[in-house]
Amino acid sequence: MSLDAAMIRIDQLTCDGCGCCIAVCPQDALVLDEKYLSWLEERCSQCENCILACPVTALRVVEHG
Amino acid sequence: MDEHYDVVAVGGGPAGAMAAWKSAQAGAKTLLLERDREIGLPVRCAEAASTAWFECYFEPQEKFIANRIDAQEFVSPDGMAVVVEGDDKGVVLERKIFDAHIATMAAGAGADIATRADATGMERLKNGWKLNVTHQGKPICIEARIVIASDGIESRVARWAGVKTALSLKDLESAAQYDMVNIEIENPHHLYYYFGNEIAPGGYCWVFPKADRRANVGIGVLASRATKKTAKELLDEFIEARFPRGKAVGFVTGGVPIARPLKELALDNLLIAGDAARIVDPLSGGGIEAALLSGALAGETAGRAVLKNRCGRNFLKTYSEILFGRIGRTLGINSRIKNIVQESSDDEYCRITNLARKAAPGKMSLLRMYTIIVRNDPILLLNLAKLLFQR
Repeated sequence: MSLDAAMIRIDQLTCDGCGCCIAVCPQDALVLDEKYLSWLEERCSQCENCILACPVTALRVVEHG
Repeated sequence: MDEHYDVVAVGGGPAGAMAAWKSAQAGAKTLLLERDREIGLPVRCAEAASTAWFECYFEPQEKFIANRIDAQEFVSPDGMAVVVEGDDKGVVLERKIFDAHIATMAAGAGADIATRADATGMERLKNGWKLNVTHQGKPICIEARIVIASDGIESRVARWAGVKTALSLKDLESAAQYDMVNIEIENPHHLYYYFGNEIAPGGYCWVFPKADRRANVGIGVLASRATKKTAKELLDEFIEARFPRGKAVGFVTGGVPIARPLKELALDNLLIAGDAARIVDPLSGGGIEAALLSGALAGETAGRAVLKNRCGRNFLKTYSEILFGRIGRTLGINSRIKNIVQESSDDEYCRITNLARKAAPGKMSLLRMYTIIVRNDPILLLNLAKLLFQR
């Protein structure tokens, strides 16, 4: 992954844990445990499906992570 | 809880709990895993259902029925409504109690239940699977001869077995819902659906009453069209316009998979049920009924498979054959109608509604709707037909 690849930032306080982002992730790069959603950078293909799927803007892209 | 089971259902919603119940009832040593701390919570559901789908398994009880429904109202963007009378089976559930009720029956039949039990991965064994589970904070391993993937919208268990379960953005309704009180509901025994490309692109808003002045007020928006506003933002606008004096006592988000079902619901030592199988009714977005049916069939099949010592795909596939025999055709038809509804313009919504209102009151069927449109607005029919064959 290149150095200037975008990062997905998760706002844990906004996230309600519904799993929409996980359902549309083709890379299985998002994981929800009992409490928190995590983003696995090494798996992410930067498709940004998760951002459109989220009902509450809990995910966003941060450039030059 | 033990380390070896015949059948492990991952996910304690209606599909998993039904599966655990039926599997245990068939004599298989069964475990139900739930990631959250309590079965039934949080309630990520609009809770409308028909008792017709579960009265063959258990008695409908007042404790999990919040409200009885006698009709559905479909409201077009210009505010006109079509009322469709229902049978006497429509209800709005208390899912928290409903889900716990099914889990209680599973426990009564001998199934073990673990909460705060999060499956994090799965490895193939010669005759089964090894599940990695974080149980109340501690990593453990559980071996199962058959795993039932009932893990809902996320559908990761099937992914671990190699099934492509990821949804396209066109196949996900991104949803949000308030539990609202202090709202005026014209008829508290009607379900209300509001359509329109402004209010809910590719989906609809709903008002499903649970009491005289209380309802689940929610929205589903097609994820591929949620480019300008999120589901929550659109829902807030809907509520501001219609229920300015309402108060929210709860809020949840959720996702509704409206894809065609997964092609394979049975693999070696694995069955996929409920939302994880993508068998939600794509038109209504309702998933409880298919979850109950698929869960029950998966549990029965798994139980039989264990007793016969035939846990491979060849035996397990009877599950998908029976399931698709029961609901496959309806899912196919409703998927096509869904495409029409999603692609219709606001003008077309209004014209359809207008025509339906002209029809004499009575039970509205697709054939009747078709006849009315042919007679009154053949151009509309052409437009709809184009949408039908577009994909």
